[in-house]
Amino acid sequence: MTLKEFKRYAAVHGANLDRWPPQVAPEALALLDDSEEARRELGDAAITDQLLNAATAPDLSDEREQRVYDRIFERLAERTVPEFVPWFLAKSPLRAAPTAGFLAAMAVLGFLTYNQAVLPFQRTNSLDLSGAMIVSSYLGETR
Amino acid sequence: MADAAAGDRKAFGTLTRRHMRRSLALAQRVVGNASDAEEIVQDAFLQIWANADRWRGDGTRFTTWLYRIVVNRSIDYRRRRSFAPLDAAEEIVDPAWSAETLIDGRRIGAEVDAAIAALPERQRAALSLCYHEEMTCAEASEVLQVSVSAMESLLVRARRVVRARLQPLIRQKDGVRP
Repeated sequence: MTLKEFKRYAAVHGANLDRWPPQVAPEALALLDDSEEARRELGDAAITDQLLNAATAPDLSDEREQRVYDRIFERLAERTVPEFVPWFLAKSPLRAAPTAGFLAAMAVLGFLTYNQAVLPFQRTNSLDLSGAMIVSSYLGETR
Repeated sequence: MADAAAGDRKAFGTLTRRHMRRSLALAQRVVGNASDAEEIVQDAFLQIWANADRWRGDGTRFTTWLYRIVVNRSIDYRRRRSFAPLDAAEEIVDPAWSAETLIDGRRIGAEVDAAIAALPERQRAALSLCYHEEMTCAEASEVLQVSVSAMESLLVRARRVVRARLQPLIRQKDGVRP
């Protein structure tokens, strides 16, 4: 292991060699025996580790755990699936009054359009091909 | 987990109890606030319940999935909160305290907390996962969904920034005037 690699591992994993990848630990120990700079680097990493360890640990009391647990299951209880109801007993997704009103309005509009000529409507003529001349180039004839 | 995925609430309760403490610790370290951490963990477990049938356990450990949800929610939460008014922001500890107060462990802890709180979210999450939750780089990289080398870079930067920010503290402890 080179000193550069050693520095990289110390910068990533800190001074505790147990946190280093197991396959590099023996090489790191060998380098520590030989290199003053490696030892200094590890000491430096140990100071950073100490600082990180000095961070306040979160309060993880049993009461707090229970409080969160209870809240989770309260929320789950609110999400209970409704009991199965047959379709013919279930409430219709359409509301009756607006739906009936809409259908009635459409019926009146249709009646006025077709029978009372209130709204402009052009009837289509029946299909009549008696006057049609078919032009065909087959054998030079015109029919 | 398989039972929980099948809708067994008792199994889900056991799962929740088993992982609650570490999830709370992780969320609190990332988000920096106890009540926010509780809300995050609560939502994370509800999300797991809602999506339990999607978890197949093929190569992914349950804890990786859980911590991923907790960390992502914590990061989102903190980003939203970063726009909170200044009054609601965390108190910034004055680094220039006297030598007497330096021996107060809580004060040092508060200073370290402030240094860690000032880190970007992903660096803070990386520190929490690797140092406090004692995950390997490979495991933590799966949680954060980054490569192992990216994870290592996050750790290096995080350690460097914390160290630089706390340099006055180190000098004072060593008896060197800054």
